[in-house]
Amino acid sequence: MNLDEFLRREREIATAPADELTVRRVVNRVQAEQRRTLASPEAFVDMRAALGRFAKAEQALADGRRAEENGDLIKAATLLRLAAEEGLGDATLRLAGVLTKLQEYDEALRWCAVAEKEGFEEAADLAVRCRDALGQPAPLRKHDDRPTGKIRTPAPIKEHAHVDRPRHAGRSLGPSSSADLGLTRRLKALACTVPLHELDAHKKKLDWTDASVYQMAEIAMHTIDQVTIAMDFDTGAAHDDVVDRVSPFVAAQAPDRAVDEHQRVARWVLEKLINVGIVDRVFRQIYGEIDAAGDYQRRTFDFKLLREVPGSGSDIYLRATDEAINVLVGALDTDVESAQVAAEVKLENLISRGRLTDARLAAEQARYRTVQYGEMLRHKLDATSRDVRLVDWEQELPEMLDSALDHIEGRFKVEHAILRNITDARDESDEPEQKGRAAELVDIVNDCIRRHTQLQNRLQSARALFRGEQDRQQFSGPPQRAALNLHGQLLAPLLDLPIVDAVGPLEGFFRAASGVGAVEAVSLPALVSMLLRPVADRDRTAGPVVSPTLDVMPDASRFTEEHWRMSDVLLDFPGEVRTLAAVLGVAASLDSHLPVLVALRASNACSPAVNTAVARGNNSVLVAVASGGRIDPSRTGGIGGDDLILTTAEVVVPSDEQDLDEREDIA
Amino acid sequence: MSDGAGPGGNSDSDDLALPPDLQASYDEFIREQYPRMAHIMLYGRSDRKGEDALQEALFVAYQDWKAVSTKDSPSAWVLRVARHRRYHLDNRAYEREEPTGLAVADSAFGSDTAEAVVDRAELRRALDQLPQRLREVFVICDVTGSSTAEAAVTLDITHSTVRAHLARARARLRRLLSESNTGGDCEP
Repeated sequence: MNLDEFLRREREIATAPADELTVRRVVNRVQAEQRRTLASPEAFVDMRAALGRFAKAEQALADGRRAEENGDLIKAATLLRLAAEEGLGDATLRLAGVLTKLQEYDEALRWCAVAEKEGFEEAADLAVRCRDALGQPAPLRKHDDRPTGKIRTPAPIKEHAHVDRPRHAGRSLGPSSSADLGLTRRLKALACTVPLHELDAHKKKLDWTDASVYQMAEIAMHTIDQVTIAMDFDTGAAHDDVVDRVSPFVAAQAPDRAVDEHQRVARWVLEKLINVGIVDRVFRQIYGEIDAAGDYQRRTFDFKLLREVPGSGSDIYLRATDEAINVLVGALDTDVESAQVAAEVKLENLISRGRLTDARLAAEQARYRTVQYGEMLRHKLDATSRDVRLVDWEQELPEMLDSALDHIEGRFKVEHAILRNITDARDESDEPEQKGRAAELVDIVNDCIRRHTQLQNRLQSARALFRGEQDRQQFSGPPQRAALNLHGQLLAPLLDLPIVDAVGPLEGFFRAASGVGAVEAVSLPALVSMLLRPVADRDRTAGPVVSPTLDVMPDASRFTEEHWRMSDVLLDFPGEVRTLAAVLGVAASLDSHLPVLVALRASNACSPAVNTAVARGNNSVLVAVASGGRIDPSRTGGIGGDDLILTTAEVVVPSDEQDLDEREDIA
Repeated sequence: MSDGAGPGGNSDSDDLALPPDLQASYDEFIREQYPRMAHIMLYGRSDRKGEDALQEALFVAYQDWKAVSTKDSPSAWVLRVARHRRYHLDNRAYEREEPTGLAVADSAFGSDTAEAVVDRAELRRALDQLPQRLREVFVICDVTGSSTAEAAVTLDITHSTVRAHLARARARLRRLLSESNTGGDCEP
């Protein structure tokens, strides 16, 4: 279920005017009550009395708040009790607070239970204080101190009832820790460090190296550090950049190992921090706490340390999460603005006292705070982009933007002052080490100033972003065209149809959905341009001549030298005439391949190459003519066809004056 | 408030009590505000006390409409009265006749797709598990889309309390819904 989308639809229903039928129904029911009132007014005495109590209680709540602000706690308690008994506003919580201040812990505790049941979680803290003061253990059963049925009116304040009760310093085991949010916070902070410890625990399992020399938790902290420093308002660090930046630190731990291994270790740690291998890449820790009712509850805490965020293009970059930054700076859920101011005051003091090593640490912490502050604002703006109604742009965010701009203005002044001090310290110092530290500090503070400038630009454009998103989300109107349900409206009905009927709608859909196809045609301008393009200059020297390496040709000839020699013998019969069939019969008796060679040479002899024979100086040449008979393949090794008459003719070399034609005739 | 402006002050012959201009203004108020008020009072509740409380509050407003209609936010006032009625209904033995009218709770949400009905049932189940305040703040701000300032006026609590409650309610609901989707039971 997509909650945001669902709520958007619900809001549309809730803010749409009621239809006429509903209006008539509601008004008719009201008028029916009215008629009953006229008929029997006494039936509504209770209701009138209740309304009278409501009006008094509203007034009492307002007066009680004022009395509390003015410090008149007794009067405030009396008035708030009246309002709380009628269940108005935050009267129960306020009354519990006032009673606690009056040290009326018993009654306060009961109102705490009522307020807590209503949903005021703050009441749990008050209840802890009351129980501590009373020395009571926390209720171990769920229904202790809980109102059942009608809310019991707690006993009124007894005047002068202040008795010195024994107070117990510190925390008792079950009771007070139950609602202590600080404990939960610290458990969560502890959980954030677990993945780092697990790296060292699991490093022995690496089969590609002996990882005992590497301190993986340190490398992980360094990795988070590098990602945090590389984070901008819009972008983060690329994976390879982080690996490159962390590798020198890895190398420092094991200088004798190969550079490739350093890179691989850095990448392994990075992937473990991203939690590659888990589908949602979430670290999950179970922790327990004792709830307000005194029961031990197990809860899961899901968090990430580094998350991969898609960039504007196809690239993916890394950002450190709030949890990771908190692990680094050592505080969870700290008020960012106050922490930032504190960090910078500390930084300035350290610089003025010349303690540059400490100042560097403080400067780095100030920078983390700056990053954290940027993240906070980024989340708000992201939420606005998703749905402007998620963020209160009427009051909350304008206030936050103003305070953030004020904060940045203040930071600029402080950071520039710090920068001046460090620059002086750097220039005046004679010690090279001191100069080096001051130079590093200058870089860090410059980085802070750069980040603040960026943040300021984003803050100044935030309102424009809101207006743009509001236009886009609120005033864009419903979509002009209804979405097509391909499965329900096309596929399912078509499957029920015979193919003949289904083809038509399907073709119609396909034609409309597939869009215009580009025709493969030659573009005349492109052709002319291509033809007129000047020929690229060629290199005058075509480069060194490469001598090709030739492979030895495999001997694929069908007939061996022996075949040729034997065929020469068989086909040499000067002055005699033989039939091809007879010669083939002899050849078949000698070798299975020989008849083929003999047959080929005999068929070539139908057109004897006399000139070649003359040129080669041969004395005779084989001559063949058709005999008109047929060869019986069974006697000639499979060779069939027309039979030939063969004979060997003598080549007579003609005199010089006879021309070439005559020479051929003689042959 | 209803003191001195009851039905006795109206014409005896006309038991519908309101003069035409006030009646038209009341009708318009119901037309504009009823869906939102019904959502706030009925959403996420599996009983009909909210409906009764709202009906009684609307009746009270009807009786004294001339004064109520001039308030800064008549709907916030009606809702405060309805909450007060609801508070007393919750804390007393609830013995009333079974409702015989149409089911306002269902018809108030219009005609929906099956998916929306299932989602709403799921959300209602999750809302049922929230404390009353958190549920109210969530419904006012997130379901009906009212501002946190309006919620503060309706519930008579401070603006910052509304924001804190809203954040808690959202966080708990997301957790409850994700658990119901995954069938997990790690939370109480």
